[in-house]
Amino acid sequence: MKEKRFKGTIAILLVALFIVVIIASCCGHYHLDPLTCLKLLIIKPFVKTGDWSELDESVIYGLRLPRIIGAIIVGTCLSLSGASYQSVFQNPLVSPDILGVSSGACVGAALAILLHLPKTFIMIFAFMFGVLTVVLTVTIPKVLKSESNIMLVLSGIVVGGLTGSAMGIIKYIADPRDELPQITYWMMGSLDGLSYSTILFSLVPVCICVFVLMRMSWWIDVISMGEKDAQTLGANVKRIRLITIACSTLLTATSVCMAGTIGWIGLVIPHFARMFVGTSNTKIVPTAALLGAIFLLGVDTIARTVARTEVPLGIITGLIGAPFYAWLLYHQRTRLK
Amino acid sequence: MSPIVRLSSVSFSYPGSKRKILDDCSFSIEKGEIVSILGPNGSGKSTLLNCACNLLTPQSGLVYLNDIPISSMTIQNVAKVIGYVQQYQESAFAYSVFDYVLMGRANRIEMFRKPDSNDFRIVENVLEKMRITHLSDRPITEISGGERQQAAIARAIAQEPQVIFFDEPTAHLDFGNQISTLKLIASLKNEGYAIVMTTHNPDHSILLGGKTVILNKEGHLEIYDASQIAKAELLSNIYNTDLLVPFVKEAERFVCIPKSL
Repeated sequence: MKEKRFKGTIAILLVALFIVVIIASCCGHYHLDPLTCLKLLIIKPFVKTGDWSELDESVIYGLRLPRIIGAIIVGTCLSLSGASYQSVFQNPLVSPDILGVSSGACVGAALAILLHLPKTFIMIFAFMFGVLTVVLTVTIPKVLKSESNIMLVLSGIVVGGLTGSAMGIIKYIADPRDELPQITYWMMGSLDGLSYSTILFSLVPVCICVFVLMRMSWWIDVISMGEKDAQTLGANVKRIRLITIACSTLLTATSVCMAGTIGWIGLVIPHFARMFVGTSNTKIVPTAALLGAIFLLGVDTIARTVARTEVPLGIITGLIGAPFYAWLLYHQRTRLK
Repeated sequence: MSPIVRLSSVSFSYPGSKRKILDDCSFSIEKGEIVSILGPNGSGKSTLLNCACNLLTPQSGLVYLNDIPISSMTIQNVAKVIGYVQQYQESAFAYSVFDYVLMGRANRIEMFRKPDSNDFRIVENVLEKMRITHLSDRPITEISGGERQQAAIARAIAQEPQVIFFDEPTAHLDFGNQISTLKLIASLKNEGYAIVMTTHNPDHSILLGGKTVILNKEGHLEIYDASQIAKAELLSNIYNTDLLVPFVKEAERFVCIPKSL
């Protein structure tokens, strides 16, 4: 029965994702009707011509489709890494942005841009700096011998402050003619101007990490019971933790490379997923991935259609995420003491 | 037959502290045997259990499971021998009782794999045996202390271990739940599990019988038959307080009570 309900939820989410994809491809300054979009998305890859104009085709394939795929990938990355971080750190209040991983990855990527390194290195730098920040954030509470949920969040703020300064330094020394605009533009958090090559390049780490997290999901449940408990149950806590944090950080770094830092998704979506399918990561992982994809695609479609110019994504995710976090703190207040 | 768990001259102190929590401790547990560990606060009862299941590594001495040194065994193989019901810690996530008990199967599931229908069936059987099937879908964070203790024991049984460790299983439980937990422990012993448990109540050792290990503040342990510890002088010494151990006819056993305040 439970299993049926879970499969039902996944089916509904898949249908919802499909519908949002169609809506996203219709909406915009150049309006397309849903039928044309459907035809273009489904039939076009197999035939040469149809009853659509060349303009229709270039709008879908040149502009909207890369953006749609990008939103799906980034939404999946952020919500999955959020869900995994929360379980590994046994702390429902953390996410890639709160732990400082996003901004750390941002520093790494900006540094690579500053050094004029190729795209591969932007990714590697983002990942390495992401790992560095997550290690730093986790170490501070350990050094202070205070392992409460709030301490980890505060430690994230400390590390976030450091990465903020580092970012400032990079911007300060960046060449204002070419490097600075490139860094600033990309930091704002936008899915605008994604190329197919960037998408293809990102798909490799994303697919690997999603696959590994799916396979590890039950073990992530086990280690979320705490180190002592998990070890006596037979879990190799260190190894599972390492694999999970590495995958989550790589996912965060990838999303940062694609779209800069987009806040709140990694925090909010895992909680939504828990409301739908319960606590077990075996169900959270696929559900959060789909929910994150739907959410970010929806938000991005709103961002580029609601006003005459594009609204930065962070504004909309913040408007939804911040009140939700407040609500979460309210519900967690007894446990935080 | 070789003992399931054997400690040989185990000494342990926490890093940075000179005090020996355990000093040259040796004892063993065999199939169907029940061992209760008594000792004052801070005498290292939990440390003894943690050393015996490789959560802590002793500075000297060795621990053997079925004659194999525990330090050479994988985490999973240790978990196949020892189930450990620890003192309850608030979980950050509200897993259902079913999912919680299912985690007991971790010692038989390979990394990168998930529990299969066989594991589900075992968990269902354990829940039924423990008479907590009705709690199956309830979040572990929202059930009562007694129910949580039952779920924790169910999880240890789902591990299919040879010996089950209990760290103060009666702490935080009301009087009725304390006694039903002891009953449950006694019935597990009758099923062939070896039991090791720490307790603050000498009466519980007397009730359960078997062996009693007394651990003192110097980290030395002495092993008694449970019937031997029913002596006022011995128990008064451990707890540094005046105790009486009269024979109660109605209960047909010795009981341990404080003399006065």
